[in-house]
Amino acid sequence: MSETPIIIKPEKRYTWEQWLAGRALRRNLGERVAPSVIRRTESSSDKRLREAFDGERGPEFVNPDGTARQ
Amino acid sequence: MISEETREALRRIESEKDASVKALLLAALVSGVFRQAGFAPVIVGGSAIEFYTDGAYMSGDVDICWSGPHLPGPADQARAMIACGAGPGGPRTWKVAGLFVDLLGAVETFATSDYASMDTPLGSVVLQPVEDLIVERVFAARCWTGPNAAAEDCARKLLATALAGGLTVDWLEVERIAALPAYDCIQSVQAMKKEVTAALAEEVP
Repeated sequence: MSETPIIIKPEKRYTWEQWLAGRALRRNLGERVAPSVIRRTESSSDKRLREAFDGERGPEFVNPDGTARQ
Repeated sequence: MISEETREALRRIESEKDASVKALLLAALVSGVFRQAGFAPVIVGGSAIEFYTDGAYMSGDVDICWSGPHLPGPADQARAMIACGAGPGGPRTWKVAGLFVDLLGAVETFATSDYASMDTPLGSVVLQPVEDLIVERVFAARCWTGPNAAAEDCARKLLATALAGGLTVDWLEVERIAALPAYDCIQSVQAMKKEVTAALAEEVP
């Protein structure tokens, strides 16, 4: 795996474990200020996205227990 | 020619059920292949916001721009994407592992603060500075063409994560970018930040 030539400060490097561990907190914070799912309903890519994802604009978002986010 | 390592990575991505994880792993795979070819990919827009927020915002495509003096030409892009197991999905777009990857132009950033990186089991991704994204989304929500509900929700989630979600954010830089003539939206940024701070301070029932 090659490293990026872009210089990244240590405080702006996030590990996989940090990212996974922070998911519940980020979702909770987001859902306190906006609806759970906020995917746009249209864009210039609509046609190809809806053809690829059974009429939706992307794959379903799921909760940690595998249920769909509403 | 697709390497066995890439095939294994593709199997992992294709079997992933979580949309955000799937997109992040795919972004890492594609970024690694382009880095090996000498380019510096940066994940931008809704995909970057998704990885910062887990906000259920992104659609089924990952947007990639380029930092540095070298942008991949069409032949470079084709070589790299074919090595990733991708097929063409439209102009500037490739389809791989059930998602789309949009290969765009040079990254546009007003931030002097740094890019962020996220490590994954399939390599790292570099993300557009969060300071840029905050200003861009607030501008789209409240200034660009008038109130925009979708951009408003996105900006509020990004601010909530930036304020309390463990991200490192240079707030002076956010205000500097917002005050630039390109955006001229510092009052909107300050107002929304205040609103989100107040919303987060409310007790959860």
